[in-house]
Amino acid sequence: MSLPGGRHCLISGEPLTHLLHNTFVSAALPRWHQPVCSSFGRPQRPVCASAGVLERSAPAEATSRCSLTSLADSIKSGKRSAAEVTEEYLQRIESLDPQILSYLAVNGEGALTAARNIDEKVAAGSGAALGPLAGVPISIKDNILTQGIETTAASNILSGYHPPYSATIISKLQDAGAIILGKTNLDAFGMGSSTENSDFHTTRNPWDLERVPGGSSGGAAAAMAASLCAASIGTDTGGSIREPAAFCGVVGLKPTYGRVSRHGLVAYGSSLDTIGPLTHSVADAALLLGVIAGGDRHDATSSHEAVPDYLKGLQSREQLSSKPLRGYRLGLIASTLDEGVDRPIHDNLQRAAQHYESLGAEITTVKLPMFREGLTAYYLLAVAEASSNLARYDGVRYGLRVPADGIKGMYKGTRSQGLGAEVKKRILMGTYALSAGHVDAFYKKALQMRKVVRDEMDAALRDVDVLITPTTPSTAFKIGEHTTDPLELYRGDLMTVNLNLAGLPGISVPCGFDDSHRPGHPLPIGMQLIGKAHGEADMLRIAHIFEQTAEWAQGTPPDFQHDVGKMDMKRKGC
Amino acid sequence: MLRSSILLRTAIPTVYLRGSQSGILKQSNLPHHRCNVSKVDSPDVRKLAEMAQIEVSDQEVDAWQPQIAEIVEWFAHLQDLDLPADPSGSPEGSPLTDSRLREDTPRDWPEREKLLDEAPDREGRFVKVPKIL
Repeated sequence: MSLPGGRHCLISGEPLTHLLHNTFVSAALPRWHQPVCSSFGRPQRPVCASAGVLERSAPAEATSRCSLTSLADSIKSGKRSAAEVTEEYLQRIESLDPQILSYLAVNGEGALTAARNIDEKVAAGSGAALGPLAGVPISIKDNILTQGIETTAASNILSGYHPPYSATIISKLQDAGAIILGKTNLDAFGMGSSTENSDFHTTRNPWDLERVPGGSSGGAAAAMAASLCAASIGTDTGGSIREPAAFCGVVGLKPTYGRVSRHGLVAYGSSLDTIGPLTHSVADAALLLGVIAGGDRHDATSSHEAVPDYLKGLQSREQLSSKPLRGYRLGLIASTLDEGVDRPIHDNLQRAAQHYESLGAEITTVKLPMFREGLTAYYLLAVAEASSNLARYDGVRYGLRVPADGIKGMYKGTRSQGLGAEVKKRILMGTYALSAGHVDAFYKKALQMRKVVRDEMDAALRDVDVLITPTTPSTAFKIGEHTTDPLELYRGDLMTVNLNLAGLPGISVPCGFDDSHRPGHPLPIGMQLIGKAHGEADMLRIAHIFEQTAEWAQGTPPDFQHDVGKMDMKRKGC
Repeated sequence: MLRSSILLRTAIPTVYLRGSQSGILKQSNLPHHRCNVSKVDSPDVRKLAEMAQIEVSDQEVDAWQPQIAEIVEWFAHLQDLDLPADPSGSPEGSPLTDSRLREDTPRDWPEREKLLDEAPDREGRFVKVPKIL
């Protein structure tokens, strides 16, 4: 089998190889479609730590792309030093982040101290007892409380705030051995889809520095795309993990509502907020979810359902049969491929569906008449809950205080100076929706619509294993493009908000590229898989098999791909 | 994106028709995000800001009034839909099957000083604020 670009594909004995090169491969592979695996078409045995790739003498960039498990294993076995790995990431942040602006705070000393602590334990012979993330440098969205590290939620009103405690997920990550590199940028309090609503700066998309990385977890997604951390934690109230993951070409997982404790999360919309990982691979997301999931006595809304081993069902490409998804039913939501979706996104989703079919899955088209209507209910509920949640920023107990003679003057001065324009507007809209005379006509109507959307999606998921949509109707837009019309911006969340209304899990995985805006300058496309409540394990498996077999769907930003050769490690199941 | 958004707007009547056929939506010729204005009290930004303890400048009122009005109108389109009542009326982000409440028992928290230190002004173990009355 001859491939465009002169590469050869040896298919004998590799049942899935043919799936990697189907009729969609263009005549001349553009740079971003070039194999992330340096030996495209020549599948090799998994390249693990034992293969010598992660030796201590490896170049700095060698760590950036290996899977979290192999990185942690190499540290636990003493092949690599956690301090060295951390230092490499800190150096990358120092040299590259001035272009991208993904971080709000870098925890240099704290990270190195924690890493040296890991190394000491390994040296003392207790490496094997360390957790699954031993020495893995991660970043945390800045609306999650980190004791000892400033936490601002990207709002001036919390500038200088040092939380007296850490979020439950931070303790869990640290117990698992993770190293916290720093805090990533977001739209203030999570209110936005681009990081343009951050009070500090707008993060740039590593695929095109003139474009937004998405939001609100835009700092997290950009940091992942540029390999400024090994994994990242974001939050998702209406798509804030999935949309930036799609815009930046990384994996973003929103768990089932309640699956992950929100104790220590800066609240925005409490009936919608979730915490989840952004990673380079589905397996990495599965590993992180396993670490952060579980019931928490500090969060009454957390679920105490047992946490399965999410990695268990994830086989490497070599282990997969030729029809690994035989017996699975996948439902494409028809209205999400209608008008309003950019053509390249529509085409790539169709390609993904055909790819899934070739893997043995049955693809059905599902009609959800109310899917588009959820957006209105979502925004109404989100702003209503925000107006209530953000009443706590009054200058009394923490954060900014603008002095005044009376307490009302202090409240007003503090909130006026400390909160940004978008946050204030959402508070005002929420105040309207909740005010006397409007509750029945607005807030309660939105709750009713929420129930309709939830019932419709639950019913659809009784017939299929996962639902599929594009993650976004378009690829990343230019900075400043949408600042004048908020409704246009809100509509970008059409695909993602219903999962938050229904409490369902979702994952965005890379699904090819669109260079129609500027030929030769690709922008990533994301595919969203929607699972059943607490059905993350199945959803992750279906996403993982796609990722393992659809190399056309993935890549790294051209200007940040010096370590691209290491990408194959994750794909080969290390 | 701009192209998408325009298309999205034009696609909306289709959604209405579908909904009507399914018996969930009422017939309506109104565009998706513009509802019957008579159902909506125009938001008074100054009054809302007073309720939310936020100061607004004249420029902000001028700029925000039409934006907030447009979004409130968009919200109000939910009133055009004949939605089944939610018997639970629950605002919870279900599927919550095992949410549990614990006993409300007081405990000493070791980081009390750190907590108080975050207050912009304090006196001993008290947070200090300007006069209330």
